[in-house]
Amino acid sequence: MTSRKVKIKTGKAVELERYRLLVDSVQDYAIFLLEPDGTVASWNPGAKRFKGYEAEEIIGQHFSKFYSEADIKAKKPEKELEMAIRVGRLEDEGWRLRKDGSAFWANVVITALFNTKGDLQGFAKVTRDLTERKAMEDSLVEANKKLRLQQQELKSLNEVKDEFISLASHQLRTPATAVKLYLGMILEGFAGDLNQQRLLLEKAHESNERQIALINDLLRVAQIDAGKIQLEKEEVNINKLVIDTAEDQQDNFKKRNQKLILNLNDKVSAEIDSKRFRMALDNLIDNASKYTQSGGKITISLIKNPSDFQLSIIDTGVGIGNEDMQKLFTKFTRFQNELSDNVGGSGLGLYWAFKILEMHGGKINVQSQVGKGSTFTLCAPLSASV
Amino acid sequence: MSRVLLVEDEPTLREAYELILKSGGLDVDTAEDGLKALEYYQKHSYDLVLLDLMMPQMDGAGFLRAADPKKNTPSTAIIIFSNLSSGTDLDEALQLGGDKHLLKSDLSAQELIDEVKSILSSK
Repeated sequence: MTSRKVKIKTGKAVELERYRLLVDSVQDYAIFLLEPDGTVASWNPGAKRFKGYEAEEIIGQHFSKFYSEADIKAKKPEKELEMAIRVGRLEDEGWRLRKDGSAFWANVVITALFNTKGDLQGFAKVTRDLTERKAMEDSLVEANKKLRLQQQELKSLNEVKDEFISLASHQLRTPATAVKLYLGMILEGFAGDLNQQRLLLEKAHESNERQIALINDLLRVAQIDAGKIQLEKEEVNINKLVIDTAEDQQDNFKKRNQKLILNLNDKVSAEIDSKRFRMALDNLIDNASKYTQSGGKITISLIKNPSDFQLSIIDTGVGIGNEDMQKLFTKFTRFQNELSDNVGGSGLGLYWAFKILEMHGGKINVQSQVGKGSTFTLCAPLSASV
Repeated sequence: MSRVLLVEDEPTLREAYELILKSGGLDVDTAEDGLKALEYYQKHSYDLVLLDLMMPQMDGAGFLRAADPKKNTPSTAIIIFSNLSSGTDLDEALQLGGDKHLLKSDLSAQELIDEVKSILSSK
């Protein structure tokens, strides 16, 4: 482009001049014309920027100069012009060559230009350099690959961890059982009468019971995490299950001078894994009692809905604060409150209960107010048909 | 005196249970796996077998298949003595000739003696 002076000419000349200025102002796109035979007829700053040629160098050359050898062999340039003529316009993405031989990823639009009589006048070519975009896409693909690998690694590390917990707790079971047996024998008088020894041995026995409970908890949780638990579902009278579970806990309630009220409003029969569901319920009732002061009240209600049932355990205990709520169903969580020192337990019970309900296609909801009490609601489908 | 065959692979537990049963006044033979148990079973007659399930060499189910106590010694009580609380292994054992299942971790020494004696006296 030589002169920038706009001479006042006829209206058409001015308009042409403005279009030339337009094209010449664009640095981010290569916009140029091709003759009907494919030779380059014009050039703009964008074209020079992407392809590296000065106008004088490239005008008159065939545009296949921008294509790779492989493309030229496959007659890609000619095919693109043919398509542009046939369809009117062609858009393509591919490698194009710069003057120095280096390649860049381009988005190319070729438009065939016809006069009013329908004669081919040439082609308009607009090329965009997508190298940057392609580089970003490529690095995204790489990052994705890396992420997937990391995920796999994490998954197998997790499995190793679960296997270890399972193995360790399994191994711990045997000596713990042996200690239980021997302590039990002494306390039961197999080795003669006891005097002062009794208190010490009873303390040891208590600790041993806690060991065994913790080991069993660990084993259960490891199994459920490793997906090794298969629910054994059958039709169960939920009312009876609740009554039986509550009865088993009577000693705890008596000991803590607490009142248990059963509001089993509806008769519910559901398809559940009786043993495991009962363990979850047991844990919730036990918690309700543990975290309620002496003299407090625990209510259990049962409601039947069209396709599920809701079992609520309501206590008048210490309640759970908002921050603690978030961690409620995670492993090894036990909270600090006025009763927690006397409580004992592994912190795994709620996690396990949550998982068991989840496996049944149900859930556990919690509502609580510090100082007022908590309501844990177990919700599970009536039938396992899902 | 009633004769009991105790089949248990864990040495710590095997010793403890042997001691417990003997102090209960029972005559006890112990075997650490199904193969050893089969040897004893074929040589002597037992009033009761306390059978663990998970054992190396030959497990509880294997012993039951080989010994077929229901057919060969119908008067011998077979107690499946395992820490498994459910599952196909337990069901299979009960089908192959187990009379009853006792959960190891549930029983104290005295409770075990009481259970065994109660089963022996009901024969």
